[in-house]
Amino acid sequence: MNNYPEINVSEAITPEGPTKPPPPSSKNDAASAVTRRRFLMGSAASVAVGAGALYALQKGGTKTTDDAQVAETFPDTKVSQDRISFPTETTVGETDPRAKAGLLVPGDVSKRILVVVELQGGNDGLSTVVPYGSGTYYDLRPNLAIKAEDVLKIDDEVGLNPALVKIHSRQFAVIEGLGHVNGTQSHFDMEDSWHQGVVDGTKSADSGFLARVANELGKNSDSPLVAVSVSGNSPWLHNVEVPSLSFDSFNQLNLVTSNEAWQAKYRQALLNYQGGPLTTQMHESWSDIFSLGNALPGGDFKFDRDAVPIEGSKRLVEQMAMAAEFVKADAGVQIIHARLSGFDTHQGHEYKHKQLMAEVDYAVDTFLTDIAEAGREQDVLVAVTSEFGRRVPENGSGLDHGAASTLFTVGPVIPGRHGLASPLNDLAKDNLKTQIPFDGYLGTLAQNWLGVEAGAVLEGEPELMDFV
Amino acid sequence: MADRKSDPANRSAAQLVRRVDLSNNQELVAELAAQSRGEAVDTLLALPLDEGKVANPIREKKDGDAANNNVTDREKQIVWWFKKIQTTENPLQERMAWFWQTFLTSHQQATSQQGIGDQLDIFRSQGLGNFRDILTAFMQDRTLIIYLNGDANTASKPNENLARELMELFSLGVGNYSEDDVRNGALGLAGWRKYNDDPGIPDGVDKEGKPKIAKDPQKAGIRFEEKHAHKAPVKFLGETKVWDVVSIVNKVCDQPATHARVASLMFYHLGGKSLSSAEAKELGVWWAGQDLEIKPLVKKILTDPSLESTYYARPRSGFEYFCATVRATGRKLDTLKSYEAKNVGQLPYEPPNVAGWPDDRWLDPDSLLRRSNFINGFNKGNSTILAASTVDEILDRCGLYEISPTSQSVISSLTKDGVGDEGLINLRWRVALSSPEFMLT
Repeated sequence: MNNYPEINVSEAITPEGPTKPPPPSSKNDAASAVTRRRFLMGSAASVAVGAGALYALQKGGTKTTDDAQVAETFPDTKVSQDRISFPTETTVGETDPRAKAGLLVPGDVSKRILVVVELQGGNDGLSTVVPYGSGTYYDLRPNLAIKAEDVLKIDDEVGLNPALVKIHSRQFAVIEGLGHVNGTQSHFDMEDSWHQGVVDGTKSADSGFLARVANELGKNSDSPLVAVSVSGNSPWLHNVEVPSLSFDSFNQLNLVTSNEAWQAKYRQALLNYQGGPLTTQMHESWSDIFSLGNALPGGDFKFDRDAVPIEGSKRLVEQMAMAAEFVKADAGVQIIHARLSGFDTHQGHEYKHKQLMAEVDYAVDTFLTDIAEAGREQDVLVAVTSEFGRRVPENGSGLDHGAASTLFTVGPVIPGRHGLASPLNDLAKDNLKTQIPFDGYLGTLAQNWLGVEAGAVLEGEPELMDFV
Repeated sequence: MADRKSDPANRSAAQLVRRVDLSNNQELVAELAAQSRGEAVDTLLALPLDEGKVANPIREKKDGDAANNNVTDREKQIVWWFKKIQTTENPLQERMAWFWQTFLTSHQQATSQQGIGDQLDIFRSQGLGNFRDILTAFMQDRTLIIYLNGDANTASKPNENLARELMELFSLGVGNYSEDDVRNGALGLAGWRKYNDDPGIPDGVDKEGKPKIAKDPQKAGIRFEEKHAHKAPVKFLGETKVWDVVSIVNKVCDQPATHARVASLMFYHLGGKSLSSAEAKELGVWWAGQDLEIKPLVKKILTDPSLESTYYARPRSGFEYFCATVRATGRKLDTLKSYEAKNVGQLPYEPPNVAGWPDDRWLDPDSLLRRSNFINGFNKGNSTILAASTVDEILDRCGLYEISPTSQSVISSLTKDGVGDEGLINLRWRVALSSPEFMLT
């Protein structure tokens, strides 16, 4: 269960004064965004933080946006009328309320690391953050709904998938209602959108979102390595201009890290090749690779798959183990991309999704334990993404492609529920409607976590969120 | 081979083999070196086509085999092609199948299993035919149509994705069509729908104990449904009429911009040179005069004087490097896996996006590190590298007839100090396979 200090719900301050959650209603799925919003604020505070009085309310959150303009640009998007704002920078003399509550407080911004864990294939948000208080959920998913008694409760309405038991005991935030504007049902289109940080499904960019963030970070960093993909070639890092590496096994770095005699001779031979323009280009690439040596973890990393006590691919476990090595090496890597595929659960959803969630839970928990031992847990935020959620009504043993979804982050976040849940009784072709364009999520990770202004890496002015 | 540096005929033939044969089969060099460049190209163009189809385990599948071994089926088809590339007697056929695939793109995830093999069959059987035919067949291919949402494109609800990419990527290129052409092109292409005729097989029971049926996605396909086609005239590329996929393809194939673009893409792929827009236009006009037959264009490119003046003009792409390395090292084919090409950074049918693989990535740190790791995986167990031990033997196996004094010296000056005799052979191989000459084509 949750380790957070309990607080009296009535201490939570909202514009309307103290509120408390309405009793769960089997058929009442919050038709009004405003009513729902009030409820969300109350519940967010009740779950997690023991210092509700320190919340300040601000229209538009950390970065105000013209709501009318947003509504015009994104006709399907409900714009929240008010928003909880949490001070993201603590000024001298103030104490971060998270510290008072005994929670993790973000470390120095220049040391922070973002770990994006991509759940590839379209993760079902409703099986991840389960709306167990909703009768509609059980009506639409007579076979695939997760039983209320099994859910790891966040509040009286929602809770985590039963397999996310370790994450549930950590400091985490769930972000509801995230989705595209003008989205499609195509994995590729929607993955492209996320990778490129372009929320409008009809548009595209010529670089990856994390590449642009890394480029900005690189302006103030002399790190030999800013971004790393531990999941192989990463479209998130497409067209990155600062030092980065993509690989999916530490063995692939042996050329750089190994002290064996033949490797040293091999390295020297590669640098001795000279000639025309293409050879010069190669020479520069080899030089870049070898200059990364100091930024890489030591060569004694071994991943023992057999020792991992879970089912499934264990691919994410291995990737997160590699990610931990970069965090512990403390040589300037600020962006890490990891990826687990298999979430396209058209058939056999129940079994497959449970197994996937268990791998996510084990991989993230083990990673955070590992880096905490190195004293880095205040510096690392794990943020989950997925190209889309899944269809609300079930289809045989599986779920088809969907739209809006719920994601989560683990680390020094403002715990609890954020965003705005897509109502289950107001679907678009059986799909959840986008409440929060997902670039608000990405922008928040860039600006509030890494200190990179959202406007420098995203089109337009996405409305930032309050989970960090 | 003593005359590696001295015999221009060998160097010329070696270049032709490098450009034409993905596996870089050195046995061809001696044969072609006795012929002029023009004769050698004619020899390659006259080889009979291998008419076998891509091995397709699904076609032999029984109902009871269930639906969920997708990876295995896809793997079998890709690896079948890897082996065909290494063993074919018509290397130009497989080269052209690869060329078309790099530019007429699809992604394997977009389709059920047999789609890849079906599309590869088109490229292998028609890759040296006529461009109109290959584009017409490609535009009706299931993998492509599902990849670019052609199955969601109906007259009442047009989806522009396929029409846009047909013009932007598969023919004219940006700037040569309007947004109206995209919209109306989508209407012209409308009507393809997915179906799944599989009656299904028992798949356990649901929570209420009722039997469940699992449909095999591999039995899904696409078909044209008249009721979803657009029956009214619309204006497309300047002409107003009722369109269908064949007339749409013919219309884009009539455009000079298509001729120039496709010809220049092929010139870069086979000839290694990026044409100026004037050169591309000139070549396009010439090709249109050949009725878009592919063989004359291939011959024109491979006999272009610019090839003889630059032996190493462009980087080998990831897949080209993979195929050439498999042959050079004598990698055992029976254990070859598709992920090895993926690790090198270019697995067929997994382009990073619909525009294919960017040409500018093949010498960047990521690519070079991948290649270095790939060649470090060869050993005496899975290859025949120890059968070639001297520098000359290794360079011969790699097909490096034209090598700079610097590269020759880098490889020749390696010593066995600290690594031993076998270590030296391993090292020579790794250094030769990492040489600029082997990285380029």
